[in-house]
Amino acid sequence: MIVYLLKRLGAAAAILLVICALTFTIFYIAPDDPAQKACGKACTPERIEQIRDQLGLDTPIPEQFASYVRGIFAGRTYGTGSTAVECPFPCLGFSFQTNVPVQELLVSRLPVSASIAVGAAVLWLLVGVGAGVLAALRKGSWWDRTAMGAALGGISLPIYLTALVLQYLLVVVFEVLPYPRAVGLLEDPAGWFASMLMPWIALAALYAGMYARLTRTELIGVLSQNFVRTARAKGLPERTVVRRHALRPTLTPIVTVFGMDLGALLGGALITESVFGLPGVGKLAADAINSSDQPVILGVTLFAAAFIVFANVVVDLLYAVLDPRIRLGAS
Amino acid sequence: MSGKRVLVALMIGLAGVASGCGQGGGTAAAPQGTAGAKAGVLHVLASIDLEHLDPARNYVTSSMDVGRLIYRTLTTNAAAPGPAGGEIVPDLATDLGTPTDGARTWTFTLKEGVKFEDGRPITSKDIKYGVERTFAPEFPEGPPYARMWLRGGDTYKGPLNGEGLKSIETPDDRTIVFRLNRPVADFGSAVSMPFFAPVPKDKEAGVAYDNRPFSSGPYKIEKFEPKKRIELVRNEHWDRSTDTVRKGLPDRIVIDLNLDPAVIDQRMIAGQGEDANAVQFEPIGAASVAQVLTNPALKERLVTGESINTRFLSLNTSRKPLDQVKVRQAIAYALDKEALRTVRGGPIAGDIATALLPPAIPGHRKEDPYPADVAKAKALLAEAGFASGIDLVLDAPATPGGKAQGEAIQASLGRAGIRVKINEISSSAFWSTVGNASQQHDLVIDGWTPDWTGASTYLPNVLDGRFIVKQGNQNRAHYDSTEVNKRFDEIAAMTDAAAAATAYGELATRIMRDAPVVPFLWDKSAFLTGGNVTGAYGHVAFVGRVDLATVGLKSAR
Amino acid sequence: MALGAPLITALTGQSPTEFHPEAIDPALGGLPKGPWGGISAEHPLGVEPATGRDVLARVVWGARLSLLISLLATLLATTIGTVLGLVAGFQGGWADMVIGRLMDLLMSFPSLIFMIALMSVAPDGNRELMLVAVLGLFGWPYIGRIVRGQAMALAGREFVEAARVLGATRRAILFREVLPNLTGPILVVATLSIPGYIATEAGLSFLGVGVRPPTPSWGQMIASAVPWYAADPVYFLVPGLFLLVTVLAFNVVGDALGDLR
Repeated sequence: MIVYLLKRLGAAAAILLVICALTFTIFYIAPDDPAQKACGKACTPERIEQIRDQLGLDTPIPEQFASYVRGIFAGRTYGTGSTAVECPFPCLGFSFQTNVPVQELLVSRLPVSASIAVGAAVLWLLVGVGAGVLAALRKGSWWDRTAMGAALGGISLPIYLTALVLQYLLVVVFEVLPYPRAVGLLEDPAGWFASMLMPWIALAALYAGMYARLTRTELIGVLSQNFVRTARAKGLPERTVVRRHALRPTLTPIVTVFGMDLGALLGGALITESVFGLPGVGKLAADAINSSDQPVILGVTLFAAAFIVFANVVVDLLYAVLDPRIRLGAS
Repeated sequence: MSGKRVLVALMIGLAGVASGCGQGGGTAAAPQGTAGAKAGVLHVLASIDLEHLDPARNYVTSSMDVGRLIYRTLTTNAAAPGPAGGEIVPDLATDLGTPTDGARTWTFTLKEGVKFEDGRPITSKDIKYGVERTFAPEFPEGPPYARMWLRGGDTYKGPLNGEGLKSIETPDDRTIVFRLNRPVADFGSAVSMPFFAPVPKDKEAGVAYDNRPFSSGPYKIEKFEPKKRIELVRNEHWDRSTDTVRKGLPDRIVIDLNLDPAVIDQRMIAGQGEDANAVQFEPIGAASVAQVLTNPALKERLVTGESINTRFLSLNTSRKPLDQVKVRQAIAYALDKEALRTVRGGPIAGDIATALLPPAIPGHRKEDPYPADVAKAKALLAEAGFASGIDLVLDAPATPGGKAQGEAIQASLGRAGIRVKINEISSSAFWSTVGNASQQHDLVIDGWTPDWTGASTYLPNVLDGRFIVKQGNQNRAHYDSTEVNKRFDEIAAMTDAAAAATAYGELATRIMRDAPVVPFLWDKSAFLTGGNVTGAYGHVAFVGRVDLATVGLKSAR
Repeated sequence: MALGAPLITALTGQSPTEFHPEAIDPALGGLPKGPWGGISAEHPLGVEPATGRDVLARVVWGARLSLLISLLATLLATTIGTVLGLVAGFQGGWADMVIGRLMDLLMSFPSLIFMIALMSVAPDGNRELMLVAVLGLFGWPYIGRIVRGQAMALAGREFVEAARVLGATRRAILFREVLPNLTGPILVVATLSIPGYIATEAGLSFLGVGVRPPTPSWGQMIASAVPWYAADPVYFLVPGLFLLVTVLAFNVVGDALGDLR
């Protein structure tokens, strides 16, 4: 078990390293000069040289990459002498825009993204899986057809449309909700809930459709399998059959997808955060892209990738818990 | 305790707003209300970031507006709406300075009783140290004036290695003398810039000073989360009797940074809860104008401000066919300034610029050498031998606003057969790219705000051909006329401010005959304030942003 | 409809890039004159605030662009995915290992952010082709994985064995025997992936890294409509609904194809 875990973590780290290298390369083969972006309005040739020197842009790219990776694990110092700046572990560089360490920006933005992601996930699991189970149990009924039609509509919904319609109706026309803003859960629970409700609904509308369809397909498949037939044949009531026997194997693939989706969302819901103007990791990325703040883009990409990759690891481990047939380390 | 006073303040406040609106229309409204409670938490909602708060590096209007709360300078802008805000008044100094030696030596005397946030008196040595810091290569962002004017400034490398600048003398703790290498008639205005703020030597922290400049003004920094928010609290050692400009009304000022501009607009329109105590830092967006102007209650909370900012299109005269004056004139005739203004929000965004100098700058002349005329533009192009049109590349920032302006320029010049391709440049690299002669294209969406009201830090900066440099260039038209350059020198040597202003006005007219740039907008700003905010007006020195130093709350809710 | 974009704009006589100052009110920040976003006989879907450009003309030209890019991206992703999937599934061994790892890697990428990063540093030039390339690059593993699985299953089947025994070359087996048996599933997966590309292209344009102005695209239209949502809701509803209907249509078709199987 532990060997397996270590193996998976090792593979995850390798993937992250490759992603990091690729992203890094993209930025350094890009036509724009990073020094110029960091230079600002009053940009003199001396200033450009100074920045090149400070960022180490004159050294070969592999060397720059090595210092970057070293910075992540051990922190690093930019520049020398009186202009030296200390960037503590886990250093992801400084934003060109504000000279703030990127890791600080990410940490300060995470709570908003996490609030959005977790809340939306709870909502879409309840609605999506619930609707999917009911549809599977009453396959072919009007409920099944309506729910599946709605699910198809849901997965087709562009998030901007949902978000803007919600905001227009609930905030502008009926004035039942305030404009979303970044409120801490602990500071003001009611305000937090009111601010997050619309992003949750907008995201959940999209994902619930997907989960409903997935749950239905999986459950129908499981219900036709032999062990379920056996359980039925033993005379167990249908409710027990579904709860005790069918639901668990149905959940396995859903957990896989869920882990990936949640991981991706924790790394920032770019469009949702942009439309609602919520300062999460996604909005940070969108803003950084607009101003080509390369260290921030690089940092967000790695951060988001880390969530996805580690969500994968967690999902694999959960597999074992949910499905006793899988014995880790056997293969 | 203060219930009655609060009520009175509220009533006066409403009356003030009403009268301000009554005068309404084109001119700047009077400040809302008159009295504010000396209490409460003022919120400022900003869609931008504070670039640098270190006085040696603070050289953008937004940060200068915030800097005015934290540090004082020898002189400063008056606290008044409209062009009156352009007047320079004494701040730490007792007067606007005494010039001797043909304006080559300037002497200032500090007021008594001015103190830093730890209670120690502010001395002339602190001012000297603050100015010396601006020479350090570590702080390149500030304006170049000290380097250009102070004797020995061309070789001085700042005080970080322990060396001082001899041309700044401090005979005693309250007297400071600047020895310049040339006559500078408006040095008394120059010392209103943040880099003439005092910095105690023992508080030096290199580039990290940016995060916590030591306070000499009414507020000190309590908490600063860059890119997110800055919280200022009252500096108990600031004595209002020494300061004729700042009011220091709220107990705290909380500035939220990098919010979404559309969200700010909507929050200000709703004005719920805490937002009643908020002011908007940047002008409202074009998309919110209709909502505000069609709602009388919102219109009352709208404050306008003037500016001395001119937006113009720079025509790169070093590239063909823009080296031909007829082609440039054709562009000046073809540009649809109205369309450009509309994508920026319509009349609320400013007045259409017809000349180089805006009305708020002395020397402004009412003239319109190039009224919109597509037929004339086509004729001029044909005369220049381009009857079939020309192809140009426009450098525009890759922001929604930059794209919209680019499209407006593209569509309007297209009517005259000038085919424009838009080259989007990421906003952080925009100025350094268009300031690089080898990377700049034909047209640049450009603009300029002088450092103080007057043409002396505007026309020479952008149109003196001798200032053209390969990198960090500000003369983006690459305009170099021997006749004009010579005239710049003559005007700079004048000691009579009024005569200089008139001369600049005449020179501006002369330059526009060559059409190196096409001015299209004189910015105005319009921003919303919360229902509980009083005393807000747009200040001309901060491109019409609210003067943070005087705004207050009607009641401390 | 998308193919008919030039026709529709010819009929209405509106260009997608021409400004119509008479249709907007500059004093109100450029709000379209008249109710419902300035809908009139001349501008059946209203005009764009601040510029007065015809929304119908922009929406249909945007549709053209969106469909063109997503169809080309699907074609690209399907081609790469099929070829590499076949090779991996049929060949096995180190080819399978390399391709499999590559697919795992691409699928664990935060692809949207990475696509944006890539597009934001990409030089100006043919943005449409770049979008196709980027979408295709991150899209093929999803098709590749399915093809690989199917190819593995087919590799052991009797008719493949038979062909092998008869001395057919590996290439001939792949393209004559295996591929034809895979067209069904490939078609379904490809159809189902089109709406994803449409949505992603709109997302990229929305975030400002798609095609360059003044070329109209849905994502760009929606992005510029966001600040106007309260003053002029019609302006975001029009491109939003077009996007919804298009994506829904492809999803329904894909769903039906999937059921047929």
